[in-house]
Amino acid sequence: MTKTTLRVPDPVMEALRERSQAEGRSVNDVAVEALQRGLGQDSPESAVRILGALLARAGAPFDAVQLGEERRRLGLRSGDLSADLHWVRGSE
Amino acid sequence: MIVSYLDSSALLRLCLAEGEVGPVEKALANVPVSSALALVEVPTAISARFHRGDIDPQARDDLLLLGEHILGRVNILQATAEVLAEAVRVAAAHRVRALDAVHLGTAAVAARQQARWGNQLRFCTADRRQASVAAQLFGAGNVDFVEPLS
Repeated sequence: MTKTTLRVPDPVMEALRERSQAEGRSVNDVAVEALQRGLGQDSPESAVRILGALLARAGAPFDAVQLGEERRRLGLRSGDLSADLHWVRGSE
Repeated sequence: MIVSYLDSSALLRLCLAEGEVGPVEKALANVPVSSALALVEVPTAISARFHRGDIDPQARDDLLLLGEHILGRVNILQATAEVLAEAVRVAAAHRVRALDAVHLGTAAVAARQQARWGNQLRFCTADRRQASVAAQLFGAGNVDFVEPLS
């Protein structure tokens, strides 16, 4: 994080304060969010882009309804998740 | 912007639809990320049910397909040198197993990257011990522990 000083037009500052009070958040948070939006840095795509070289494979959008339908189609039964984890990671 | 790190245990919970899956679905609706380890852990845990005799080959294959479907919705992160070094640091400071340390180390590196842009990382897991360490690393308010069935 970098601290900086900006010359902000009074009406913009007023709008920031109003939004801050209305949402119960700090002026800083509201301002940073507005800047991110203005710079196109508030999208899921931008968050993935930030991952850079760390990203091995990008995921497709998640659709809970589609997943539920798939699970129902398969008619899956419950099991023992802790036993599954124990198998994968072993005991302490 | 919230980036959600999903441990394999949380992904398995969703895949197997056991207990509360709402927090996992919510995490997937943000920007979901996980370690490449999950590409091995999720199908291995599913296959474990078959090897234990809990499911037949057809159910195993169905579950593996479902696991693949879910993993395809997650942004997969590499175990880079920075990630592995972070995992070692996590293991030095906390009582965790190696694979847990890799997950936590991956999440810590991703969290640092995202924080530079004002984004927040949340950690979602169904593993109580891992959740406890994640709470120390990322803050309890940033950890979504998916309660066990019982």
